[in-house]
Amino acid sequence: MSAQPTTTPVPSGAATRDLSPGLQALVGRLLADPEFRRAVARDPERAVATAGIALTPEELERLRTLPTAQREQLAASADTRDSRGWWLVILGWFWWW
Amino acid sequence: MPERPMGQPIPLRVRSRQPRPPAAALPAQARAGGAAEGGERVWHRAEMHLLTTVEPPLALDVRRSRVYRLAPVELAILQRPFPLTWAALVAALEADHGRATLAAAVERLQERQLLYLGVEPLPAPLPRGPLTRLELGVAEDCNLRCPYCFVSQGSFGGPRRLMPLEVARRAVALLFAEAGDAPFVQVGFYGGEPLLNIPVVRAVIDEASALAAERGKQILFDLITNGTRLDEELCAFLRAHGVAIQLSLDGPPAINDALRPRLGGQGSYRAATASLRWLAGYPRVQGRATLTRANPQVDEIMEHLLALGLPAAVARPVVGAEGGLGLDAAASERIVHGYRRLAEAVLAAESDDAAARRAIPFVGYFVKLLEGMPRRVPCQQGAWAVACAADGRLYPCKDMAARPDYVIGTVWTGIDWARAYDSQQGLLLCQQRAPKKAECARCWGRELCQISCMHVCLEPKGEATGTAVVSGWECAVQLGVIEVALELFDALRERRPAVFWQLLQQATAGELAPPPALVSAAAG
Repeated sequence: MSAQPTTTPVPSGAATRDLSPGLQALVGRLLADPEFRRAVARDPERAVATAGIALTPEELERLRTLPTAQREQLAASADTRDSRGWWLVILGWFWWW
Repeated sequence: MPERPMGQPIPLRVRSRQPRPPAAALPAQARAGGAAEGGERVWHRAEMHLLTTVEPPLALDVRRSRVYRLAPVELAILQRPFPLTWAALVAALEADHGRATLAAAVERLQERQLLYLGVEPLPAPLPRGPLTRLELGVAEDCNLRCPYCFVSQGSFGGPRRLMPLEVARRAVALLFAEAGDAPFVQVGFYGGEPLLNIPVVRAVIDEASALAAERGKQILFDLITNGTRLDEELCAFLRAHGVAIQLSLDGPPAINDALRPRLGGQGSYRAATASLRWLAGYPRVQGRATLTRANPQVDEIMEHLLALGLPAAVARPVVGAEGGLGLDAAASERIVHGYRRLAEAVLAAESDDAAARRAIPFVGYFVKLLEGMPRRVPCQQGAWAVACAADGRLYPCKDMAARPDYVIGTVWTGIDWARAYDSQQGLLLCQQRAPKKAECARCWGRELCQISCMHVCLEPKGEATGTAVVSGWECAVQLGVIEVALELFDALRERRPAVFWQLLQQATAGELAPPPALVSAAAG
């Protein structure tokens, strides 16, 4: 775990407010819960059901059929230890809070 | 002035709770333990804080800032004396929980790193990162005379003065030189009242923006202001440059005007809130209230600030207050109570969006809990930073400004890093000169503590005697609020996780992209 800021390019410009309520809940839980991240990497369908997150049938199907590598990437990218470029933007805004 | 001398016990127990784990569970002993003793595995307990009066109980992993729900068997294990052998565990708990359940619980606690075998890995001193934040004290003067002000109404205890543009330019150049390959930099304006020096603020924003574009860096500006010097044209300029504005307001007119009078004694509320018409719809503005013994009703003050149309509002209990407005027992209890009411309002909000807006006073804690790891700099600041005073002297941060013992360079000579940071010990100059008091080093809340700087507690502004003074009430409030924040964090995570996403969206004005892999998954 490095304390150095990343040099990873910062993603920007994506329209994000149109995330469905279910996906908002999913990413919120991924951010806040390391055990949920691990559960999603292992078995996303079960993890989402256990957490009571309501995805649309289409979203659920896409999540269920994610290749293992992408599934693990999804969990890892919400883990702040491994997604520092993304997270540093947030910290930049939150410095005074 | 803080009221309690260092070393006295924290006076306020905010909530009743079961007895703390025995001293044997503390990390010093835990780290001293080893692996097999007599052929049997020996577990140690990570440093943690247990909240046993909530249901389900919670465990805060102190070093990693992670919070976990505990099953009854897990709580029972963690409340045993440590170090702990399997034989001792079975002897104590098998009758209640069964051997298989105990084994599964131990495995789960180990997976969470709440229990460990052998020696707990401790973080090495932080390597010095690139400098990414500059705090410019553009005005060591203020047009208000707030009695609690910890920098002597903006004068910092010295002559009132403004920063010349040349000093600001050199400081910005220093920031870019020290930032290296860091993808973004921040420039903050502070005072006193920074808008007593509008020409320099504007010039820095223009010139630093151009420099950032030239270097391919993102640049963020922020400004703490009392709002009385904002006008339509300046607001348009600040909005155009995306400057994050923190507007100090301590409550409704009567409260604010008593606590934030102008130089001539008139109130400042009307002038401060007049600017809101020009900031309507601007997401990067937030109200900030300082809580003193005269205005501890944080929940009511937050309601007032949000009702003004501010997109966000935060509050901070005063630290190192002058003017006899430091916290006392009644104020401390009222503040913690107020935060609990705020938390209840978050959970009761009609929508996730509304819940997120009300949760902003807790974001400082949430960020660290979300981040889930120790600080990236050796103090509470979020970045490697330097503060530049009006005369060009450099300090570790603005809390040290104008204090000769803490100078780490000048804009003409650069930063003396050998003086500013001891890389062997991982200590900034301020930490070397006034090490965190012993109780801070052991405190379970130290990683989440939002007291702006423990140094401020130890050496309040205006005191040159070298006598360490700390206010126990400030700590008591902080620990009480942290517990409320932990409970709220857990409740949101389980019941309304979308609030975290909404919080981040609000804080970044909708510009934050979700994790790329999520976009990929959602897009199919």
